[in-house]
Amino acid sequence: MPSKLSPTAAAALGAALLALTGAGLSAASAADAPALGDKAAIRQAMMKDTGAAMGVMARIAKGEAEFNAEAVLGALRTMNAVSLGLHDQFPEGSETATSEAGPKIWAEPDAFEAAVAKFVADTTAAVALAPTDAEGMKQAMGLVGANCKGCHTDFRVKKN
Amino acid sequence: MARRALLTVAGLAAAGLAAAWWLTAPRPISAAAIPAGWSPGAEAVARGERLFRLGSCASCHADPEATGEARLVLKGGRRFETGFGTFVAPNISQDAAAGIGAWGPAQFASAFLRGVGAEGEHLYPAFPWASYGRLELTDALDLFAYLRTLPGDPTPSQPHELGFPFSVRAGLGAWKLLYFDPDWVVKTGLSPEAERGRRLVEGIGHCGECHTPRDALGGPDLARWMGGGPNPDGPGSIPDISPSGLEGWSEEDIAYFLESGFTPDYDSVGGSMAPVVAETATLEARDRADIAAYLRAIPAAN
Repeated sequence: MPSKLSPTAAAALGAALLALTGAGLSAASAADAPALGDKAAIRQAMMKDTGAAMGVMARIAKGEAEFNAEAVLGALRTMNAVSLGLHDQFPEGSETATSEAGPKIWAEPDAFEAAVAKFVADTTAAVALAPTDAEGMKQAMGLVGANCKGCHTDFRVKKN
Repeated sequence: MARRALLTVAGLAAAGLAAAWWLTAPRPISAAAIPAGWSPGAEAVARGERLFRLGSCASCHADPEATGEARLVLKGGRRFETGFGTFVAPNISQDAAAGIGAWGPAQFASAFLRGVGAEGEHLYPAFPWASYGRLELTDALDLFAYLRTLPGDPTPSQPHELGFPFSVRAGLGAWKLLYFDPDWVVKTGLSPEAERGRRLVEGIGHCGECHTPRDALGGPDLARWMGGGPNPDGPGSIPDISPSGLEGWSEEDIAYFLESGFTPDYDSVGGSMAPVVAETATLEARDRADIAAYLRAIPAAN
């Protein structure tokens, strides 16, 4: 159902998937790709991509991996792409059995929009930082990382 | 004959009532139990501050919107909507009228370790005294010493909004008989690290209050210790953090989660756990490692 995916979202999603393929961040095969009409599955995949991108940087921050400027920039671009696509992934009534989207998304749409806009702004700024060492990367992580906890506290309902 | 039988029955009933009254009466800690001349120094206050952070007292007793220093203003007011009704966190600031500023150490220890309020009444287990009861009197005194260094706030405590029969505090005596066990839940088979973690998890951290499922009367299902279940005060569910729920997590993964809020998949903490991680992130690395050692060592719940 391509008509349900706005051009911005489609472009962002494409960019996110491309970024992932390019950086080899995700082990997901094409068979796991969600149906285009299944918004809950799409946004879950986008969140998993964000987690994978955070993992690239966290492993460097923990000292488990060497700093790699290309991988880090790829990870930040993935997050930025996801942020740009998020806006269109939460139509009302798109909850499913496994969806953890919380009721506040629709009860307080202005607050949700503001949170998404902050995620876009922070990931855009993080990409612009283009870190050249682990310290710069940690600064970028700090910028984007607070968005994870902030949104998951206000707009997510854990189900497992 | 019939009359004698009737008298016997009446006598037995009276004895039963007396026994029930005695068994379910509040059991405060007497002032005589407090060491003579108790006068806490800086070390006791520092130990109390650590307990305050480990227990995340501010998460419930500060204004939910408060940040920074304002989280030390324990004016209460946070509402917990549960299956029994709505509990409202009370003012435990140092205001003498609205808070606990006029309390003595025995009154605080009675509330903290035994669930008995300043008027000698039973306190609802929404305040996790059932967990804190596993700690020592010295812990209660240390925490009390720290609380006395915090500001007062005149906001009056609001009453809980509970339906019958949960509105009857006397019933809490029966609840204590059924469920209040100040002994450790996991009694054996723990390494020294895991034993230190047990004090944090089963005691001051009161992790089991959310992570252990409850029965119809709100008592913890100890056979499924840390097994997760429905969220007691909102939508969604609380995860199983026993080994059956943390399959594939190493001790390092658990400690890292408590520091950063990230799972091994780099999913991020949220909801009511987010303020908890904000506190655990400030602990010493050894405390997080001890918590992790304990959680890996307990039986699988599911």
